[in-house]
Amino acid sequence: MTRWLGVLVHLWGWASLVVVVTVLAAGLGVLVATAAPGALPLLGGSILHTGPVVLAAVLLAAPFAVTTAVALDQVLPAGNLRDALGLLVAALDGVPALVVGVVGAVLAPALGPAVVIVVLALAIAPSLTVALAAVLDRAEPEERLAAQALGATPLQVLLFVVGPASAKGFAAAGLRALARLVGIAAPLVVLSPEAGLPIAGDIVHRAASGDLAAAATLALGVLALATALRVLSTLIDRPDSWSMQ
Amino acid sequence: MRAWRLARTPGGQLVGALVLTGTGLFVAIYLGAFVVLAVEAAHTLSTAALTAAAMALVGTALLGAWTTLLAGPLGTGVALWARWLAPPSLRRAATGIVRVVGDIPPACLLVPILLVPASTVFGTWALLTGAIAITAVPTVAARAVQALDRVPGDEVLQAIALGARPGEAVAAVVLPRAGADLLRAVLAGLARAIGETVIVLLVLDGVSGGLGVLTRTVALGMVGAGAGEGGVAPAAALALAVLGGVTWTAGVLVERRS
Repeated sequence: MTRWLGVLVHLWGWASLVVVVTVLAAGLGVLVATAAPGALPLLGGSILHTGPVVLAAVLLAAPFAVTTAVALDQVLPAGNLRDALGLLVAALDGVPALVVGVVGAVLAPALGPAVVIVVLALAIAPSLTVALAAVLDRAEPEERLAAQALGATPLQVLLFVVGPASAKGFAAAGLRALARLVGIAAPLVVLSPEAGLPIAGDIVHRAASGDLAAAATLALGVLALATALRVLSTLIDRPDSWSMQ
Repeated sequence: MRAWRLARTPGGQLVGALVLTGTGLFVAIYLGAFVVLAVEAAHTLSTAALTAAAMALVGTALLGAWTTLLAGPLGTGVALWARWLAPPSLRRAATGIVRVVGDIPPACLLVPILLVPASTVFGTWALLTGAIAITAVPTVAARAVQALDRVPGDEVLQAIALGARPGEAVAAVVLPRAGADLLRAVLAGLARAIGETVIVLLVLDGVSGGLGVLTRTVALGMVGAGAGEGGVAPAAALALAVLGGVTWTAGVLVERRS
């Protein structure tokens, strides 16, 4: 029985690989075939506009994400309050970003030109919080206990043990947040193009207006930029599991 | 009890106060956002809007169920291959690639679908299910790799040392240990993908053929393209938030119980 299950699992893994690689390669091929070299200046301008916007969004979200992550991991005592906050952050992480876009569209008259940055910050803050809390949680408990045994106060443990141990993880989480924001389009589709949308929103609006060559060129640019940021984040902070057998 | 752990020294009290203030603001901002949404929904509330939102909720849940059948096995299959079934010399690179691919922006995955006249070839439901599945598979695979990382490698190696083939070791050791975590990976991928499907639905306007799908209802209502649908958009957005949040939280709870 186990033998047959093993054969099935083997077939399952290889068949999934073939299907997924084929679909992704076909998608990439379609993008490359459709992209127009004439749209490269558009791509450059769009990236130059997107960079400051997503950076500002991450910087806006970061203080709330950092404090909430520290509260979850270091400040709040184990119990109902911490569990409730953890579940709230998890639930917010699961809320589709489109919902945040709707909130932004409702508040757009009040927010003015900052609406895109606020929407992107609202879209990324929960997942950034989850990522930062996971980074803090990775700090070795032995090191924390050793510092406490040597007389360090909880603040000293946070500043001189957990903080330095988490620095790379924080940088990597920030880069991953940037990578995600570069590609987030859903909350932007409900915002007016006059708001100065980043590149992902531009892709959708151009595709909707039938300018598919420009949309494909921009999509290739987003793909390259997001992948580069993601690879960089992985190089900065490799998970322990990479040292696998 | 280690209550308010930082508050033992004056500096700790200050940092603790800053941290709790930031956390309070974090919670207040999101609660405020949902209040804004609820007030907006209440302004436009009508029986027709509620009915449309309910229909769209059912349609989205059905779409999610179909997509689970497609994206779940594909994503977990790729993760199993990368983590345990690939040749040993490839596993490290393969899992790294799966992690990176897991963050591919959905717009990049969906634009090729817009470029292929798939709706005329495959039909409405097939196109939507395929679009969501393609968006979900990389996320499912990346999270499934994380789930598989939590299975003690020693136990798998012991099974292999006792004569099991990799596939047998996965079937007998890995899947029973990682089952709940893999379920969470599938739910997470779906929750992400359902929200992003709005791109396809908006660009290929009318592709849903009158099917109730929350993201389409929200998008068309907000951009004013759907006659008579403007009133339902905030209510549909609330329903979408609840659906996404509940799906995601269910995954977290499943993971914590395992």
